[in-house]
Amino acid sequence: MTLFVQLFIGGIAAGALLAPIAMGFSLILGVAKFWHLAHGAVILLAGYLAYVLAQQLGWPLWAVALAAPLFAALVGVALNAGLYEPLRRRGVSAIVMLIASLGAFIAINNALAIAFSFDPRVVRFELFARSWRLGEYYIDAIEITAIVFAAVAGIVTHQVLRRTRAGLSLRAVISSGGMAQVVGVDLAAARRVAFALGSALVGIPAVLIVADNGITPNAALEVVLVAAVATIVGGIGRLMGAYAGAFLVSVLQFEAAGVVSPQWGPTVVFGVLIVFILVRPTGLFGGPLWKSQV
Amino acid sequence: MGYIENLIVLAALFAALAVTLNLLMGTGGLFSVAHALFFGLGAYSSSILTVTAGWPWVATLPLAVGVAALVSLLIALVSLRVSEDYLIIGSFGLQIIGTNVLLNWRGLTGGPVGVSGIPLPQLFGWHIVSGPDFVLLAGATLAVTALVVGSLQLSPFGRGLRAIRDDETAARACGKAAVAFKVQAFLIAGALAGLAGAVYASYIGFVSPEQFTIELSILFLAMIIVGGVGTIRGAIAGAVLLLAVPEILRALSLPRDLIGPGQQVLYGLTLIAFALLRPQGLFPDRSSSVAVGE
Amino acid sequence: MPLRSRASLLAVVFLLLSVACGGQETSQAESDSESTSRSTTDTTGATDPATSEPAAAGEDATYRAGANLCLSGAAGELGQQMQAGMELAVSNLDPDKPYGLEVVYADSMADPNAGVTVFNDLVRQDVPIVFTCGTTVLTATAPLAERNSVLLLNTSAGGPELAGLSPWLWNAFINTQLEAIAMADYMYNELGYRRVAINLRNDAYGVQTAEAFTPYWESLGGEVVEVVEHELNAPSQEQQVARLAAISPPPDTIYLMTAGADAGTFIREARQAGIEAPIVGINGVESQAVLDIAGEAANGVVYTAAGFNLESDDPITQQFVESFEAEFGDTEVPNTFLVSYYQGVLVWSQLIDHILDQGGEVTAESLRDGLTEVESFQGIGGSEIVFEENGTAVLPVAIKEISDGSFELIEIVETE
Repeated sequence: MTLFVQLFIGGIAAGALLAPIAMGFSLILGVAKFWHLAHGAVILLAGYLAYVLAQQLGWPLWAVALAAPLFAALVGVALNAGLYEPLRRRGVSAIVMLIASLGAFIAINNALAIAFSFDPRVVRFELFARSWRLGEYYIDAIEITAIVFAAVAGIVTHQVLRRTRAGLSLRAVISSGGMAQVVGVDLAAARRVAFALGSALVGIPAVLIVADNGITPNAALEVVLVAAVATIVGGIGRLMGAYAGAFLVSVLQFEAAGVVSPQWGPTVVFGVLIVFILVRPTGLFGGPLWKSQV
Repeated sequence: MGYIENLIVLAALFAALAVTLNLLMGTGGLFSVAHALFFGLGAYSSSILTVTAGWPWVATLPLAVGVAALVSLLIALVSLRVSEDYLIIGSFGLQIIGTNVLLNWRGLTGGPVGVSGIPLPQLFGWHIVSGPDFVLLAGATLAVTALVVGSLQLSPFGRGLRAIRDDETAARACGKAAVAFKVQAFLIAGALAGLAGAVYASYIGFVSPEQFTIELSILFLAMIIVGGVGTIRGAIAGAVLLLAVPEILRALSLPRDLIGPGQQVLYGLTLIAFALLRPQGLFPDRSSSVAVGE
Repeated sequence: MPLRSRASLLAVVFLLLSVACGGQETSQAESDSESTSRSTTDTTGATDPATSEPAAAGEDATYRAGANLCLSGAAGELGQQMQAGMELAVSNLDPDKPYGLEVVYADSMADPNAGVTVFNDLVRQDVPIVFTCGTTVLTATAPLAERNSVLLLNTSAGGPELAGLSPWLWNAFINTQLEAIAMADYMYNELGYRRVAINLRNDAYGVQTAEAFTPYWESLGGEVVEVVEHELNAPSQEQQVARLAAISPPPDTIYLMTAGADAGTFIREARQAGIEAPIVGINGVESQAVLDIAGEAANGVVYTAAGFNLESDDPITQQFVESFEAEFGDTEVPNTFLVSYYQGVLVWSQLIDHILDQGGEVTAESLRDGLTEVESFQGIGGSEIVFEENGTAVLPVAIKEISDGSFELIEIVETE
């Protein structure tokens, strides 16, 4: 029983790291209406920036924590402006957008590998060196930070979407796409905001990855795909669904590791995906069945 | 086994796979990133039977084809009721599950070590032993695949498939008929991919999970995009071109450790370039007004 | 089928046929029995694979080798260490020798497909010997090495299935089987452990170490209480840590059968979770990544490694240590694979010396025969390397410990 409680704690922590990433991914999917796989590359870029700033330039943690989301937002907006909007102007289909996104991901991923090699790049921050035991259970500083940030990010994002004009425009575009344009929403501007916010959300998780076991190009594709799973599980178009989906999927994967050997993790996670697609493609918190339009 | 011959064998087999993927993506508009899995299933099925059960290679072919076709049914199921978005992500998921199972089901697949010592194939008395022999066998596989796919594309089946691709709403209105078409497309594509896998296994002499990963699936996808979705010529051209990339890099004497990621960067940039400049690929499908790029 | 595509299809088929039939090579088919070796000999016009022209008086011949290394991809860190070791050895070659060495480096990306293509490319460049890394690449290229009469020298893979795989594949690295047995003896006799939990990497490296260890450990009287596995480059091992932390009563030790970053990740997370059991490992634990990621948590980890005694005062070792420090500084620890590939070049050079002494020509065959003709080769650490008929070398195993950010030698065990 101890094992399953500990695995639950670990699962929540892992879910907390994933949740902002999944929210960002879902936001971009909902507003820009295609699968932005290069989201994984944004995570990598933010992480490597954190590494360079902290390890090579000696910046303190708080400065890195500010720089990373800002940089991530910039990268997201740049990708949109430099790659996706031009593609849009050429009138390509959503599939082509996905393929371009995949191409960008592969190119950036491997360019980073050339620059930094495939070795994990780690930064040891004093703040994160601690861990705590509560009886038989344990949790460390990075996991707690991830949970705190996820909570903050969730609340802030939720409030932004509900209370601000920009947020309302975003929601309008997510739920009704082209129709929103009819009532005066500037689609291109909405996309810019979505890319900025959606990408900024990965900044802190990227820093935490660097501080934990290091950042490396290896796992980026799988992170994005798991974010996609969380998005589908939560229901495309439901940001909070992606948020909840991230926790659900992570806890499930961790608990499964207590029953079968941990290396079956990917089968568990993507098995969940298949089950949802077959049985409830609208996701837990249901929305309309999704179809990308560009 | 000469250097050129090795390249030709691989090119022919990968071209065959690109052609089958083309049936799915080009003619059927069914976007699947799980093709490496069918390839691998054919390879593994054939290998396990020849090595552990001592079957002659020819006898394993129906089973290799069958296993691959059966699993592709699974993917077909995923595609049936939902839009292509779910198919894309679902096929990512199935591919990853597939590799994970090949890696972890040690009893059947040999786990990470795979199956080695695969004997040379024999086709009704013809002993396939040397380089030129394999070139012929691979070429024959490509020819058979191209003939089957080509005839299908021209037949009423092909026309029906294209109709479904072009207008999903109308397809939905046709209900069961549309389902049958899609399922058949997957079965045939999967079956032929499995056949190529069986040939490949007998050529390389051993199979392991790392030979059939999502990266390979993405490579097949890139071949179609570059070559032109919808045409056989395009699939073959794409395969040859993309296989030439690492060779060109090698010939350019890039610093050794840059060749691997450098090659990937080139693939990524190629995908982007084609998306921006020529989304319909080098040899586009002119027989229909709606191609992937439009 | 429309005329144009039919024509293109025919063109492709024709092209393939013309290559198949019009090629210059004739082949002699051997019966395709269940033997794993595809022993077909190609007879081309030039049968001598060596490129060296006979050295005229006063002229230095250059002997070439290929290096099919995993320079990128998941194992890229190691491949680059291997290349660095070879380059260092080549530059350390005694200038008085009547020949020079040249290595053609290539990246197999640790992928068997790419490795095969690279190998074929190297063969085209007429190298008689190819240093190769990676169990899967070795397994994939061994049949081709036979077909082309090229010597494959493995100085990094420790998989037991490589022994005797092919008459053209020779292994000069400690085998994880040897390591596992040496560690089992050490744990049982010196450290007094009885209950072991295993955390292995889910690939040939980890799996085969466990397969060698477990029966032997149980035959000594020990017990394996739990086995967990992780994937290569797993971003975190919290799940594995949780399972091991839940073992009650805690095991005497956790045996890490993994390498590099994965080892570092586990050690760090295990200690943070409060696991106090001592950790032991195999040679992969000796890695800068472990020190980077685990930091102080790594102190006290005991592991087996290739028995390179860098403290030895013989001239070969001294030359290595000095040139290593000159190149990389004295804070860097020489990676085991860097040393092993350096040693590989030493063996190659000694083979050439042997062949030239006998007045022969340096070819793949003479290199291969030399491996057993030479009684023993001088290796790093004052060791003597002896190749057995089955293609493996007997090498010493070192028991070492991580201590204060450095890798300390405890003792060297001779294996048989």
